[in-house]
Amino acid sequence: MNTSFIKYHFHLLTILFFTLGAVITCTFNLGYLKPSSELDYFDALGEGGMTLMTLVWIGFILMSRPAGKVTNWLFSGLLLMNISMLLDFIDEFIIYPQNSAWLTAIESLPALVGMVIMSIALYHWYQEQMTINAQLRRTERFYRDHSLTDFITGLYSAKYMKKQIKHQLLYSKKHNKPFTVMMIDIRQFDQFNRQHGHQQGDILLREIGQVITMNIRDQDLACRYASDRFVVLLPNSTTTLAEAFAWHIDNSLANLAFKVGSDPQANYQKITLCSKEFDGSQSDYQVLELMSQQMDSTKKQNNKHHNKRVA
Amino acid sequence: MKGYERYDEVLDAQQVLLSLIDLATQRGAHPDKLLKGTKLFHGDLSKKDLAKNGLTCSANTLLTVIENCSKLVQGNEISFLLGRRYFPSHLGLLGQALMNCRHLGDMLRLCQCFQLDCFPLMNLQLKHFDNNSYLIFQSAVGKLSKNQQTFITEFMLSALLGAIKYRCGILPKLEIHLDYPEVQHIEQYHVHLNMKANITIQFDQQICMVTIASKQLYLPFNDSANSLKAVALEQISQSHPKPYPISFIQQLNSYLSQRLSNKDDLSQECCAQHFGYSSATLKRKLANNQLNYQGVIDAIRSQQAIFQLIICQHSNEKIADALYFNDVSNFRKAFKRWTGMTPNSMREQHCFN
Repeated sequence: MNTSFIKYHFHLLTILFFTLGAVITCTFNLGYLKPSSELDYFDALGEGGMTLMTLVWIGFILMSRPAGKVTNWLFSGLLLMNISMLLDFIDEFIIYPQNSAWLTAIESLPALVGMVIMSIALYHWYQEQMTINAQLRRTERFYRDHSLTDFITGLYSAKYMKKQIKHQLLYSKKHNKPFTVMMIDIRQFDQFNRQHGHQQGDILLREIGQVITMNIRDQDLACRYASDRFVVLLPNSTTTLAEAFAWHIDNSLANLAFKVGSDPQANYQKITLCSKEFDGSQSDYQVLELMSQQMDSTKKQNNKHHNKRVA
Repeated sequence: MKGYERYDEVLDAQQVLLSLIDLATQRGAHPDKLLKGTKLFHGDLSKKDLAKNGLTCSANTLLTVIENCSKLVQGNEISFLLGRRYFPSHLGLLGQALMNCRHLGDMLRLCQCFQLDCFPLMNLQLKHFDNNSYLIFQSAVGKLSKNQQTFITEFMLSALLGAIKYRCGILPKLEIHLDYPEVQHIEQYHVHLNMKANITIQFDQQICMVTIASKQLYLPFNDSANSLKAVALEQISQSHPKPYPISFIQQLNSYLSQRLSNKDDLSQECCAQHFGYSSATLKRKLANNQLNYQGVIDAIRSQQAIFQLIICQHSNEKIADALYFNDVSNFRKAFKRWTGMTPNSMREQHCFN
């Protein structure tokens, strides 16, 4: 299990244990144990289960969320609900004397407050999610599946792109609107890897992926294809538009001064870029195959061009 | 000389294991989960005292890690990355020797001689016909799972292509036949293996083989130094004598192919006697590799039949005769059993391709 959350939620965990400890000691000090003949085990089981489940929820919230305002709200709401349920549960085993009966009277109050707080927290969570979605919008389209992301770049993988291209093909065929696919390949990435190590290569890929997403529209989608190759889907666009985008991407990547670790030396990358327009008459497999072929012929052309210049 | 078994700890695979685990860890897998089922822990792998003697592991260990890796890591790029890094840095002294070979053919011969050091899990077999050379891959450790087969083949191909590109400067035209169905992660083949460019890859072919023009195989490298190669080889042979150079399964395969080509007796008793085992021991040894005797013979014959059929384009009569069948109809029946199609339909399919 991932235990790193303990470190950055340490104060919340302290509050949790302190509060639960306080509630338990308080109730046991005030009341005395019921004789076993009066116990209603069925009720105790249900209430105990509820207490346990809210505790599990608190655990999941802490594990899945970074520290912050929304997390604090969620935590306090759940904690208050948990206190109510715990009091209810302990009630099954303890009888309070007359002068401490107020405890049973107010036991459901924390739950109400907790639920109100939870609602506020969920509203904030919704807003937070909207912000995150806005940040993600160029890396995903209409459909979220975390199992298809690429671990190195944080973009979606080729598998996701294949699905999206499939949808796009259907759409293009139906509405008779062309779309363009762009492929971007980093030149001499192998050499970079050999020189600076593969870990730095992975970081470079991540940054290049980010630069590409900065240069495309909201409805476009950028994914990592394989190795040092990226693929961009541009719906409702023609080659002319793609060429303009290609120029933008080429320009901004040419100015990306990548630094290896703490070394001040700037590393500039050159890319090979190609794009092709599709009208929906192909299959998704053919699209990617054609793109790979196009990429290869573009590379060969570039090499020829380059050789000529050298000569 | 005896061949090693799957469980014999003879593979000098510390480097490969470590870089495999590093790659998978960088892609979000937990190192100890990758090593699950191997009785090893990640800490064991990088211990200093091991670095002195080198960690030897069994083929089983390597296969288990490969299986875990295919299951735990998404994207299927690890096999390719591992292959790309393999030559020459992961091979130590052998890498040096390989760097100083006269031509590709020389390099392949060295790979075959030092199979335990470079490709312990797969057997490389070189055949020539007309103006082409054919490099046939075959498991050296018995039956592999689908994941393992794909992973190892991808690894070998990308290591091989990487080495060719490194030494020749460019990739020559190659044709690759693969014996598994087309994979989901075809994009990796596009990028890492240059598929659709100057490499043609065909899936679902019943034989795993790389075709290269013989001329290319013997094109001399200008920067090789025979003396350096000799020194490196000398150092290898001095550093640690290897008790088992190749696997038992591979020995069995080459023995049986030889018997087949000489049209000798192929009975199990005869074979067991040759290796100095009883018939029951041989059976048990094969069962350890999830094989049986008839299956091994069938695999050899089917491979030879397919090669003669699609490459040499021999007639059914000629192949039936070469493979020691009594008549053509027997051959046709057996071929159908091995491959699921008749010789003629395979011939047609191949012409169509």
